[in-house]
Amino acid sequence: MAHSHPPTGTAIISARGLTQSFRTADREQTVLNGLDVDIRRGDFTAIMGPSGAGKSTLLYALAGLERPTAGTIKFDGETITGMRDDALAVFRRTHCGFVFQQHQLLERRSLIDNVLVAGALTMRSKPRIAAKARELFSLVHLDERAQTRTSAQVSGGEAQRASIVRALINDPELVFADEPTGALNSHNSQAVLDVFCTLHANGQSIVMVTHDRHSALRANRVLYLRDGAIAGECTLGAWDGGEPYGEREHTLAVFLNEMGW
Amino acid sequence: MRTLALHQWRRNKGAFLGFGATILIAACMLGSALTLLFTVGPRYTALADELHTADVDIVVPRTAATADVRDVIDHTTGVAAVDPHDVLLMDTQIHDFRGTDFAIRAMITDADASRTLNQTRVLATSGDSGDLYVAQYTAWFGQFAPGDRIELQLAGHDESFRIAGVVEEMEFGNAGSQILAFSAPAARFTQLERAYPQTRMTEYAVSISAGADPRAVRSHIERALADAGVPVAAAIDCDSVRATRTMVSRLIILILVVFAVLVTVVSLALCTFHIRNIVETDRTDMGVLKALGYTSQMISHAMMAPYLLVCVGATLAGLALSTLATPAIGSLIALQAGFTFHAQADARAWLITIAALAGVTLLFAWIGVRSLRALQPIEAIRGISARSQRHTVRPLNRMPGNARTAISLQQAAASPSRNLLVGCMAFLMTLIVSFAAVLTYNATVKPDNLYNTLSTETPQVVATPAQGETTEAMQRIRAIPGVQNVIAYTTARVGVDGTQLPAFVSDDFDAASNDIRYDGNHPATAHEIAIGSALADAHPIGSHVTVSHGGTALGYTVVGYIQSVNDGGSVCELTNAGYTRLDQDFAHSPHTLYVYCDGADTARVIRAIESTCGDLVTHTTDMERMRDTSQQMYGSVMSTVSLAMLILAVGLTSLVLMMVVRSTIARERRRFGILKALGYTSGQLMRQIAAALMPATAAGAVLGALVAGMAARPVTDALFATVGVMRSQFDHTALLPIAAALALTAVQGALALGFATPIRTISPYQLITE
Ligand SMILES: Nc1ncnc2c1ncn2[C@@H]1O[C@H](COP(=O)(O)OP(=O)(O)O)[C@@H](O)[C@H]1O
Ligand SMILES: [Mg+2]
Repeated sequence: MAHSHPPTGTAIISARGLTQSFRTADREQTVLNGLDVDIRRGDFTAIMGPSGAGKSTLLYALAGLERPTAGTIKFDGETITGMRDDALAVFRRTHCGFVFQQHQLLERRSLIDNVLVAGALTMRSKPRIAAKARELFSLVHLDERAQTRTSAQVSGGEAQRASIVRALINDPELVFADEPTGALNSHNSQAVLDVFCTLHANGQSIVMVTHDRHSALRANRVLYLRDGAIAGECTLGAWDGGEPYGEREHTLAVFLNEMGW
Repeated sequence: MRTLALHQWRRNKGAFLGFGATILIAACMLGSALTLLFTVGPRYTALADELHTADVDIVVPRTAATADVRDVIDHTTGVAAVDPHDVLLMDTQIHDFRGTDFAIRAMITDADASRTLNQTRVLATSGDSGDLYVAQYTAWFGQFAPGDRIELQLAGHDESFRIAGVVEEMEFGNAGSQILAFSAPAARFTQLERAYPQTRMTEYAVSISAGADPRAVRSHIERALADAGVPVAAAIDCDSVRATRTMVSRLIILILVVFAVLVTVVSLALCTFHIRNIVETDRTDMGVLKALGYTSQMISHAMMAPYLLVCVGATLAGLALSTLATPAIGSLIALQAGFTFHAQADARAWLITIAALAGVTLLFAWIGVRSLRALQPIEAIRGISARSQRHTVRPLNRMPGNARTAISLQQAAASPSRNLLVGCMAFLMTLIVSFAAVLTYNATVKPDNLYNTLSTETPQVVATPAQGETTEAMQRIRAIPGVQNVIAYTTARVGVDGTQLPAFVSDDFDAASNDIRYDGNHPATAHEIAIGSALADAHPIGSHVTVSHGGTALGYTVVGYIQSVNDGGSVCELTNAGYTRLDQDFAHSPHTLYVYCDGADTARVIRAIESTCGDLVTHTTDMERMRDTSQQMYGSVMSTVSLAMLILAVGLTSLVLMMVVRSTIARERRRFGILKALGYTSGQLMRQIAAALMPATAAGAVLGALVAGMAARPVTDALFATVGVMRSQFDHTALLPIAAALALTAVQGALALGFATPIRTISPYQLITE
């Protein structure tokens, strides 16, 4: 990637005392409760946990999409909690890429235009963005014909891969993915996860929320969120191509068992 | 269906309120216009009937008013009854008439004489005595009250009166007849008759038989009298008087109707645009409803019902508001027309307003929901695939410019119906603003343009030399510092085609400051004449026309046409030699000198005239003061009208933009949420929304400026033509429409930005989790 990053292994995000509570009409609910976490550069981090544990909430807070109720988040040493809306927007466009469970592509616009709209945030020249998009589209195996279709005209997997291209177009330091395969069938899921693995192998830092252990297996570090805090973590080695019943799968199974999955 | 309609109402309150607001304004204007249309005329007729107003009035000098005259009038076809009276008719200057000196002919009648025609009714008295009754127009427009003193310069002599009362008079009670009525108690009248014997006349008030045409009867009588060699001092008919007296009310009604139509068009465009929007966004819901068994008709009725209800409600509110507006407008009309008029609500006006607005609302709402009928339930339920294929926006790589420009252009091209609405809006508003700008410019920045268009030659000072001293006085006045020119320019009265009219007599028409000639030339020889627009049709340039004065009638060649709004186009121009052929005494009778000293202090010039030629000049008149006063009046009227137009234009623009921007934000919440998540700031998105409206706005504004540039002259000329202007002296600089277009585009941009601020409240996170 084009950035000249500090060496891998250092913390890209460090969150301290992260608290997120929601006040609804009848009650107040604390979803994150004084949570501490570090996300390291070069890692493919998976966040797991029971449904409703607050995985998405944590991800959105780390990505500067929503402000936590309390606590601080430092991104590359810069505190993003307390930033104003516009500053946060600039932060997101320069440092983050997003892949959501639903592809969240703009309607009525072709896949390539969706990517161009994101690229326009950091680049002025249309041909330059297009050239870069072409490179990324080939990485996710989307041909030119598919690129000119709208999200409604392609399969869910193709749309999701286009949204990965959109996430990468501005060379983010960190890609956030919230259950990116949650809405896909297993074939399409594999294709998307393969893309993530390729990216990770190229040095891209990724944080992915998932409740699927096969997805989590692609990561090299798994965090488990429970009761508003990180209950534990385990480190898997580098992805070995999916060797069945291998070492990694065993390690993860033991870990999840410990966590009460 | 009730619940469906209620649902529509709840979801789109803002849109309904905007629509209601425009309909309210339109209803108020239309209601006022129709109320006036239906009540001013009948009120005029009722008053004229009540006061037995004459159909034709002929005024003949007393010396010529023999039994033969009565005989001629009695025997003219169409004459039913004649009521002769002793009157005084003379040139007058009313001092301090609304702050200025007002020159007009005055007809003074005996207030104590009984009469069958042209009766008056006393509206207010001073209580104790006084020695002059004035018409309502003089009192209200000239700002005089019973008991006040009024100074009149009668045939060159100053007379002072105390106003005994104010009367209603429908024939000479307004400047529209070019003669203003006064009446004095018998004793004072007799005294005036003795003081001004040369102004004694007989007024023959004539009523005509049913079916006869007042204009034709008047013309017949004038011709018959001319044939009999009887000089006629004045001849008017009730139709012409009515036309001039109700001119302002007709103009106001016209303007109100035009604006009501404009506002209605905007509100209907809004209504259609909005319904289409709903149909598009709620397609799925409607498909589901259809699948459940609702018919197209049920759904479209539910969509249209709230609009109809809002329309009727807003129309009623607008009509209620018009009951406040009409009395105000009515009193303005009464002030100018000079008769008692209190506007009252009129059932027909209300019914027509409601029917018209409800009718067009239904029509346009129906146009809006039409596409619902074709909607197949399954197509809607299966979702956007079929539709989005048709509605895919133009790809970015086909858009010019860099990435951001291309995105803005893509957004701009995304909604043709929105572009049409915004473009039409910008077009109409540029037209209105340009028109207002042209009016204001020519009435306030260059006030002479409007003034000269409506009036005849007006110097800074008018001086009347003593008999035989014209040449000497002219030379001495020329020598006064600050005086640029002095020309002899006298207004006499002659008869053409049996009509008495003013004749401007001068040898220096080309030196005059206001060129009232609109075709051909000014007369240069003793046998040439230029005639007013009212005579132009009957007498082409080059033809011969017979002009009479006293008992003399001579032929002249028409060499040109001139305009005079005040005289209704009934004027002519003669050279000194030309007029002397008719009136051998002209050389020895009083002339007037027009003194031009533009920029100099006229009061000082008048003092200089009085000191250097005190014995040569009998009196002077400061015309500059009169010009200033009327220019200020025109100026303030025009700027008020323009301001009202501007407020209307900006108000409508805001409303339409608010609707458009709001519906864009509501409809594209998801898109804006996603863009925010990607890192677009609220400011960028707001600018994107505003920029997306700019191409349509700019196109509409440019088109509006072009049309305004081309149409402003013909339209103002046509408007002026209705009051008798043949050549308007308005400047139509191309800068005004261009400035209007630029200003409007800038205002629309700023408004769109302002209305887009709610985008700040959209949170990226909420949208994605929704
Ligand atoms: N904006 C919000 N307002 C109120 N409650 C919320 C909001 N966002 C999330 N929650 C609540 O927080 C809890 C955690 O949600 P989420 O982070 O989506 O869980 P997960 O992604 O782990 O399934 C849920 O109970 C959810 O109802
Ligand atoms: Mg979640």
